[in-house]
Amino acid sequence: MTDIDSEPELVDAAVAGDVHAFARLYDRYVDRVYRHVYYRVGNASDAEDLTQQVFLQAWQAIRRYRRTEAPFGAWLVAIAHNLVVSAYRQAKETGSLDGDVRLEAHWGNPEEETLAAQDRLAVARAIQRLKPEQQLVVLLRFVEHADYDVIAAVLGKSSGNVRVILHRALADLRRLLTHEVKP
Amino acid sequence: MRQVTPDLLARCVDEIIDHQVSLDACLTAHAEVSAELRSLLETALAIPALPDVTLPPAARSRMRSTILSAIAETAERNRPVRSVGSHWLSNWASRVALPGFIAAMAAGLLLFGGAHAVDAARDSLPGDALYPVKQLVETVQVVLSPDDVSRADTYLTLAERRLGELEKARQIGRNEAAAAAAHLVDEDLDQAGELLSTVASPAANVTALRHRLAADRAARGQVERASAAATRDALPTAGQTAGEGSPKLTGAPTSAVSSPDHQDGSSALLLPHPPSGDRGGATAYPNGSVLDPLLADLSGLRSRGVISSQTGDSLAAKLQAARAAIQRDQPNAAIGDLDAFLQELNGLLRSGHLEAETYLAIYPHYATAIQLLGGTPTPPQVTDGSDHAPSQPAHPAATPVGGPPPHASPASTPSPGAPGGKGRRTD
Repeated sequence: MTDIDSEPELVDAAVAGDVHAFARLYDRYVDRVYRHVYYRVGNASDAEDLTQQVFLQAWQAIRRYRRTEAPFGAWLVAIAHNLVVSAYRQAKETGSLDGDVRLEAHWGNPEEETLAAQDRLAVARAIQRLKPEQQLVVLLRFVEHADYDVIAAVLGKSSGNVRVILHRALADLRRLLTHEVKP
Repeated sequence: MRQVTPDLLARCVDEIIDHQVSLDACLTAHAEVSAELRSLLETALAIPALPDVTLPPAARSRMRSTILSAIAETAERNRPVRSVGSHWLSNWASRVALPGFIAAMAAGLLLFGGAHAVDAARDSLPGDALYPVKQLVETVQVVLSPDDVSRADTYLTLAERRLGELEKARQIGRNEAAAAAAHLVDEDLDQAGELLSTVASPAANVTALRHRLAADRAARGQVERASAAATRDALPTAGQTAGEGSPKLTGAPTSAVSSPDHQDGSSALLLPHPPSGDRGGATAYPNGSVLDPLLADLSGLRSRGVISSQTGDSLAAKLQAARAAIQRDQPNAAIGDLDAFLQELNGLLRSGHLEAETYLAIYPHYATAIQLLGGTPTPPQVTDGSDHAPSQPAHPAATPVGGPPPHASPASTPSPGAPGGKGRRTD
């Protein structure tokens, strides 16, 4: 009902089809999802479009969500990740989008042309080149600060598998960054 | 040569991120793999944090509207069947219980600015083609209300709108629309009441809303009492049957229950329709409003998806035939139509398409209508174990199936052993 406020109750109600509960979850998570998407695409317009799609997809899929498996926020981030990956894949196919250019729009802010900004841009570019699964693990662990059990629940893998993916992701990221800074 | 294992890397990451252990401390603790560990950990620490960006409030609000409007469409297609009145969504879902294409059209209208259709829908009544558009607009208004207080405010506004529709429907003789509007008034008032009961704030606006709720409930009660008085006025007095002289109208004068809009008591909402033609001293019979509870039941069964559209049409046709017979002053014909209605319900009960509980909730309305028409109800197929014959006809507007209004008096169930077998007039 409308007086529920705890996240588990809101999530349960939303899973049962309560639009009002889902609206409250939107209020609670939209900023987080937006920041995550913005992190990936680097501009407000695309971030808004994709954030909107995240919640629409979440509503469509919410009956499949199991509260005991992964926190709702992490689940939304996973949806956001899939949408971003899909958007970049589509953009590559159609030639309508240059991911690096988009990233530069944010990370390469001309007003902030510092070494740190360039480093962040380089890392962001390198993350985009990781395998989708590696990207998600890296982002959930280092950006969203999710623990391994949560990441495992989101990916449907064991916690040990997540550690292995993380290890490979960091090794690949290191190689990509080393390659990028070479003349 | 030892290598950094996934577990070791994960442990170091945890220590640095979650426990604020320094990179050097980790490297010192694992000196045998420090070179590889350093490169991996430095990479991890170079991953930038989330940007400090915020979603502009206008975009946040616009996205919310778009998402919830789209959900209003998809929810109709996917919604499970729920009991009416037990949950916020069920109320909401019943409001958008539209054919999919209408829901899609309405959502499209909302999204793409079909102002003309929305305007045209504003004056529609339950049962009109554009009424679903009106309901969808209202659903979105409820969903978009930012908090419980404003949501209660919205529900009260909707209840007041439904009261207007109820009166308008009665004035033009659309009893089915009136019954549906009455049901919606009760739902909206219940929703507002529930919301206000959870708000602890003593703020002036909350107090004002509580006063408004009380006033709206009083207005709703007034309408109900007026309807009861109208029916009572139309009833034959005890022992009076056709041919025994002019009816003695009993009950409160209708002017005593007139609405604020009809201080002279002349409201068509409040007054029974006079029998047509010269009845030659025959008893005055109730107007078609005695069927309102059954019409509301039928509306509830349809909106909950309990019965198919075809079955609903068939049942509605019998009620319409009964109403037409009442308007022609042919109570026996009306009783026959109501018996046919009951027979169809019996069939649904036997085939398992109707639950006994639902059947027993509808049956008293049938029995009351039969009694008001001067007949004896056919006993129900099933009983709830009670054995109380009604000494007085139950309130004709009482307790539609799917959500009893808080003010309704409980309808009584005629005894299964009531004489008559078939619903026939006793005159």
